[in-house]
Amino acid sequence: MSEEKYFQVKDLSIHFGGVKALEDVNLDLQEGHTHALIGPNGAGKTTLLNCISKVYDADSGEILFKGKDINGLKPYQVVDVGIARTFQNIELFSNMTVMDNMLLGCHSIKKTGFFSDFWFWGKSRRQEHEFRHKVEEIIDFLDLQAYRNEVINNVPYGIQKNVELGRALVTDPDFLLLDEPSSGLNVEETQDLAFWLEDIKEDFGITILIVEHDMRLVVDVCDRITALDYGRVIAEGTPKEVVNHPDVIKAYLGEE
Amino acid sequence: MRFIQRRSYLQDIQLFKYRSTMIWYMLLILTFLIVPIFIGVYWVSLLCFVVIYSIVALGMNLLTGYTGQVSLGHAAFFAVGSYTSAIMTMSHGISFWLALPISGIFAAILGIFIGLPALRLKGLYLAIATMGFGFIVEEIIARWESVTNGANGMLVQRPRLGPIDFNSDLAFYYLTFIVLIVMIIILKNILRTPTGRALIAIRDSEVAAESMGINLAIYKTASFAISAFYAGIAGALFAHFMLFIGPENFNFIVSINFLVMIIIGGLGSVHGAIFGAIFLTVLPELISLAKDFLPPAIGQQAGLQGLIFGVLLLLFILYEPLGLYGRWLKLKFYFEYFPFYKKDTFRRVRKFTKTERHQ
Repeated sequence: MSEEKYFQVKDLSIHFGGVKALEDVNLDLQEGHTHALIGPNGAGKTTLLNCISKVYDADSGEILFKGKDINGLKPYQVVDVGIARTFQNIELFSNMTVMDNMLLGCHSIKKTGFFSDFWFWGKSRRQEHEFRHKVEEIIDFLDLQAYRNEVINNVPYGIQKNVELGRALVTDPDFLLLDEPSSGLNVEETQDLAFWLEDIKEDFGITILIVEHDMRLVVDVCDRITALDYGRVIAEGTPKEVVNHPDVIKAYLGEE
Repeated sequence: MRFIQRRSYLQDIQLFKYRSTMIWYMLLILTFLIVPIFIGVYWVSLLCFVVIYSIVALGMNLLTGYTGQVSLGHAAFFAVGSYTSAIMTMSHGISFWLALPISGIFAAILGIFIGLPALRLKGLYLAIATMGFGFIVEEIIARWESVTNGANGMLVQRPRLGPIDFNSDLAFYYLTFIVLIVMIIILKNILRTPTGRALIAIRDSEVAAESMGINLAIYKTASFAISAFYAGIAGALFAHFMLFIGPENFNFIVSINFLVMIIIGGLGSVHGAIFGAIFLTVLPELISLAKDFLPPAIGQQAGLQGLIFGVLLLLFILYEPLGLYGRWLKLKFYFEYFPFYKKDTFRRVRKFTKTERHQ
């Protein structure tokens, strides 16, 4: 291997029954970039994300993260290599508080076993302290202080989206997968999100792969865009190139 | 309303939030230590049952209330604990103090084996599978005569610790009470550390739990094992309290009773487990006391107890899904915010729990 790529998807295919959800999809991400996946409904964007986070097993193809094939991992191992994600339809733990939800993000870095948890001495106690500190930092970053001890069910939708983003950030990710983070948010919340995405990229140095329909947000924050339609890549490049690509216009608006 | 100034993160996860709560609980414990001296053998033995069933209900609540896995076979773990302790102490002359934890561990190992197939099953199917397991264990106990003495049952003795003799019900009650307190503290510790959070996460969303790095297989099995451990410990205490155990002590109805306990008491709360155990132990006694005052046509009717149990369970599921603990919370809220409690204060919560159930 001449040059180690940061993240690469090679010829990924998956089908559900007769439907080919993804067909030979290739994706190339540079470290520190924000990369967007766009496409009409049913194009396979979320499926691709699910394949990367191993919710689905791809039929064929490779997913390389820092030169290592992560296709063989189990879903719960993905977060250990530094990939965290959020979901399109919020998948929070709805009967827990905001704080507990975010503390769960610390699960992947926990060092105690069952038995030290039973007694809650020394190590467990210190670890709880450490986790809480970490969570407080993210709560600060996302302005969630007012909701810290609220149960998710009582929290507005926009805040739930932020909590989910926060929970992903608590895992100390290297690479963040965001599935439509702005869906259901109002204009102001979307603007906040745009700032946070910039900060996540600049301050935390996290690479982001984002599935998004809000083109203004995409053009604002993304370095590169990949457009999908019917499970195939139809265009790839800088926001300007992709937005003006004839195939992309055709996929969204139909032919003249 | 009380406000406290927090100076450390750990303050938020103390066992007692306020100093006054700690004092109240200490008083409660003291009451349960002192009152039994004066109330006579009958009520002490009832208290013993309450404590033993509380331990099972705690474990059961961890599995069903917190992890969301239904079990209709908990009598089996209870039985395994009982028989392990009985066989070890009576047939092999091993000390009760060694047999007690080993009974728990033995039940936990069995719990792991039951947990493994449970990984692929959910909801009703899991309930049926665990029910089948319950029948198998009951049947094994009845047939394996060389070890368990079959349907004839086994005689068990009360333990001794040096000069202290636990022969009286009162002394044995103190022993079970201490075990209960230790078990509550362990459960509380589990719930406030990553292990407990992982279990609750599995109940709320398995996909999200996996994406947070929770290995479903390990945690579901662990939940079964811990829950079985609780049932095993309770079973061992039960055997030594009863002095005689037979397969009929561990039939299907017992499993159902355990489940009813946590549903009436309140799913997903430590208080609920204990409320449920109290309720299910005391209610039959109250019913039999009430029989004398009822007209014979009703009082002497067979199946009166079953009817009352069934109706209560229905009413709780329909109107108070959080069980007795939910009632308790509302009562507390009423007094804490005295003139402000309105009928609709908990409307949103009630609506939510109702829609949840219809999914």
